[in-house]
Amino acid sequence: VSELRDHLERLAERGTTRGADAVVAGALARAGFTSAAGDLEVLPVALADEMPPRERRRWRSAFTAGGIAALVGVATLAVSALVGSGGSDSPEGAVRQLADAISHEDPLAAVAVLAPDEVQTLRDTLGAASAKAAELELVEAASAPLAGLDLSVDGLSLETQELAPGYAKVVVRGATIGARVERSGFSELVQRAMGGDVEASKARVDLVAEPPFAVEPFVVAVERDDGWYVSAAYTVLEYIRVVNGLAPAEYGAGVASAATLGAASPEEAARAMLDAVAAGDWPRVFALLPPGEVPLYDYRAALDELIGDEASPGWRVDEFSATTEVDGDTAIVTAYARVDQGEEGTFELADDCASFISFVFSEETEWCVGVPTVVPLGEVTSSGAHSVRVEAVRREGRWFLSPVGTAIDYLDRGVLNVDERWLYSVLGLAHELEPDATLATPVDITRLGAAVYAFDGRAGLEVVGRLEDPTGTVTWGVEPAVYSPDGARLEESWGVLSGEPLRLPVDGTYKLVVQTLGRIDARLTLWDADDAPADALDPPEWADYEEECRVVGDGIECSSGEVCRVEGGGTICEQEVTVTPTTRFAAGE
Amino acid sequence: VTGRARVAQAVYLAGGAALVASAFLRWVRRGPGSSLRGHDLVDTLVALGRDVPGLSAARLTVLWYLVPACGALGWVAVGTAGVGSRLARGVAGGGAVVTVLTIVAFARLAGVADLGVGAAAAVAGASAMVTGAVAPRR
Repeated sequence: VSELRDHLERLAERGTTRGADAVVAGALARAGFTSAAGDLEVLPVALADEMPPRERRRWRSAFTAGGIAALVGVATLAVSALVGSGGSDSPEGAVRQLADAISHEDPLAAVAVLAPDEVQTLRDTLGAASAKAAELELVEAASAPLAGLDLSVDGLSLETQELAPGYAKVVVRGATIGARVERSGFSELVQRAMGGDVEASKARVDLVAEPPFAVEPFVVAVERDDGWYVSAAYTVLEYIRVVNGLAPAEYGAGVASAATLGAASPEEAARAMLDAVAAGDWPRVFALLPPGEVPLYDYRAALDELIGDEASPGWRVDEFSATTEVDGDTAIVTAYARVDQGEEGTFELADDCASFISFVFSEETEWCVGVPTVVPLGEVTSSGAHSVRVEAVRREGRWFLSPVGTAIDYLDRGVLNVDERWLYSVLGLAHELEPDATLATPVDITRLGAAVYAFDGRAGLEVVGRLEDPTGTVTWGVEPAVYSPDGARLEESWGVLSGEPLRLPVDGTYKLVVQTLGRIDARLTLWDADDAPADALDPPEWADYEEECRVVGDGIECSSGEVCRVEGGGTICEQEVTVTPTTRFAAGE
Repeated sequence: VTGRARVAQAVYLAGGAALVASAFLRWVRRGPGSSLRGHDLVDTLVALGRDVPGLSAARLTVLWYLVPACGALGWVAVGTAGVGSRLARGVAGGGAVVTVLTIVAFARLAGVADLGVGAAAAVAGASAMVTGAVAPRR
């Protein structure tokens, strides 16, 4: 062995240190290996790897480990996304998510970070509304419903203050909110409705330098099963409490006491709510609203302080009937009620004029509240009264009336019924619609929203019209407008259905658009003013408003709130005047 | 390993990393869904009334998560069998198919113009993996 070692040591000390390639090449050269013919190629020895085997295995192991870790991460992400439904890890995280959604003009993401009880199925409603808006070309694409509007939230600095376990006030220490409107970003339809005046405008607000309501800006976040959410309801109520210096809230008291609040059935909840409102029993009203959705119960001490002894209507419910459709923990209550208001008469809670709620006074007046041109609920048959639909929800075995659910139900029905005619009416583009008929003879209007009629006119002709229903001439809630053959609105046409003849400027086919606030069922007649009956030329009683306007500086201020100025011999108002006969006013009068 | 094989391996691994990274990037550039990913993103886009024939929201979600999963699997394939192996080539090919399907689906859901950087990263990643897997054999 020692002899072998000696040989090896001598061998190692020979020459210089070389790599394997050099050693092999040198050995071949020294051997003088050539073929006999001298034409054979010397093949180099194929070496397996330049990299030491141990190092190679280590790198490969690292890739494998990294890949497995990434795979586990992706799987975790997928599982948590499928199992969890939203929320954030912290109150501040929830507010930051909301700010991010606002910055990306993403209403659906914003809804996803709001407390689930407060928004319920609003996400689906917004999605349907976006899709409908794209279908009607109100927006270019459903995926970008707010195109044209650029919102930003910058410099967000937050601080969390715990209000109670699961309830936190996130105070905004720094934030700048910016909004920029770019006309070219809107759809062609909206650009037409905007007119030619606005190209772009922008605004920025420093929330800390200019805090709303002069209190430090904050947002309230609440913790639900799967994380923290921004609570719009708690934020609003907390602002009311702080701004008015009211008693502290009992955060979470309503949710904790839900089993003792509400009513035993949906019908009972509806009846109890009506009784409580009629009697001005506000604590009972608060107890009948879902505590997680509208947490008025938590703020009952503060609200009691705010309301004081006022606001007790002293009504009495004379009649009440309701039917209910229960679907799990949700119910639709269809209710009818007749309420005695004492000296003020009675009103019915019903939906017989296709509006949200109608108040039918027993004497002779009918009021419809909730304008169907705002929420198009569709055509309703004129036979009989339609009851009001209210959504009820079950929490902890008790039933509560859900304002959010009810509003979403109406919104869903509204979105479903939105059509081109309604949309063009709201945007003031009804004159672009195909006319319903030609006004050669009287026509019957039985519809919601705008009715469009064509008529032939000639330059200098004066026309006047009238809208009549069985009770007489209809003027309230009716806004007529005449458009010339070139599509321009004739400014003097506001009174064409209320005794103010309109002189036509050119020959051609005109359009008369009759916009109504509610459902209308009346007969429309348009005359040459020379042939019109005498009473069609009488201005209605409400047109006599001289005493309600006064001269202010160079202009005239009317009780309607419109401010007008005298210019070029006429009176021009900043906004459309609906009650002031402008030609009767002049400065100094 | 030759220098060429080493470059191919680096390209393949970078592609895998890009596919994994796509899960954390924005797939929709603006509007609804632009701040969301995965399940929430698909739900949002489907809520807008868009659909892809033959692909329910659940299938679309699975497809979306398969993109980063293919990237991660690519790393595992290189680690266990090498970049020129049949396994690595199979993962690269599968990743490319999944990515193309996902991109087409999201282009239909959100519009091509609104696809975000996440989609771009997925395309780049899948291309890199295929390139890396094929290069050592040429």
